[in-house]
Amino acid sequence: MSSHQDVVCTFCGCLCDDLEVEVADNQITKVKRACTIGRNKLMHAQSDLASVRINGQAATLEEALNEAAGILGKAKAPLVYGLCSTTTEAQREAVALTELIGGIVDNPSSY
Amino acid sequence: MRHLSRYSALAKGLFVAEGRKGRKVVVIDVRPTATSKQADEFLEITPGQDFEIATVLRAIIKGLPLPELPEDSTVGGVPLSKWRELVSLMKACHYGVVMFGIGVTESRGKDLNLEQIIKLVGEMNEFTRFYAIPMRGHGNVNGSNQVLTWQTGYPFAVNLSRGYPRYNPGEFSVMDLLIRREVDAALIIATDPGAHLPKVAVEHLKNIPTIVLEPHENLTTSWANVVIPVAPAGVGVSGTFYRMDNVALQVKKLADFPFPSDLEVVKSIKERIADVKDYQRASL
Repeated sequence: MSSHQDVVCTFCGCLCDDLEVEVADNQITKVKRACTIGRNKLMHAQSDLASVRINGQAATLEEALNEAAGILGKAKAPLVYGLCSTTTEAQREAVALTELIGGIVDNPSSY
Repeated sequence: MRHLSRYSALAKGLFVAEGRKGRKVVVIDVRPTATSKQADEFLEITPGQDFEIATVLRAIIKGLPLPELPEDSTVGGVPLSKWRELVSLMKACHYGVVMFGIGVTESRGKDLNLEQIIKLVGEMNEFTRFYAIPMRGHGNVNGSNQVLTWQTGYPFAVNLSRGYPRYNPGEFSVMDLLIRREVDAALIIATDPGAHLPKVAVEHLKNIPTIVLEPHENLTTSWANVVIPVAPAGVGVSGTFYRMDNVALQVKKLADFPFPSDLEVVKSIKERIADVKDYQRASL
């Protein structure tokens, strides 16, 4: 079992950075000092995971990446939207992708 | 939920060592809330009057005459005298912060309401130190504004179709694009439009090819054309997040996930498209 100190909760914009999280066998088992929402988010972070799918059918990651590239490469006016719960590193890459495909990039602070 | 205890009302600071006792908290809202119960003063306003209230406050701050408003009149459902008291309180403080929520953009006036609030805060600095912080919903929505501003010059609603950035909220913002059915494909990263956007906007997303990068099943993954699961930031992958007061923090990886990161997936899609474009250019 390992204990992580000064963990940042990524749920809301407060980013409380004083959490303590215990992990045993790669499973989060205990969250200390977080609010109810933050604790639930972390405790349930490993359940109900999504699966790779194309049009509802199971697919490999490689197939899904090709399908995504095909869709975005062909689109005349693609939208890249969201980015609010991911890292700034990924956000930067998303801006580069939008530039490449000549799209529009937006996040939820626009409404 | 720890905003009051960690950052605002109760926090002990360098100049406010006594915490809550050393602060005045005024809440302006359309109904009583858990926050308004903790306030020194709660001003319950009528909905949709944000622009009028901010305008009158600015006039009082500047000491302008208000010939149209008798002293016993109300603005936004609150007596004018109460607004005068609020301005006196604001001018008397050493350091004031306006924390505003998304509600002010939802009423009539929309972004103009924000312009009034920001001008008000600017003008307050003639008298004392004042600052404005938007209350942020999701963890790194501030980061996306920071990155977009750093990369394109604008915080959101940026159109790169001409090869240079164009910014126009109301034209290039997600809601307007979807309701007017102006986009023909969508890449959704780390958000759940199926749960957050109005039905008419989601209907258009359902009609165009939509790709979703998301760790968990949600109301968008159930109908999206391509679902690519990713490791959640701050749990399965480390990186940088911006707190609502613009401080950058490093989030940690706590556990292994069987998925790549958003960064790896977006990069991989970008490289695939760039390869095809290079090939097409080479075979011209």
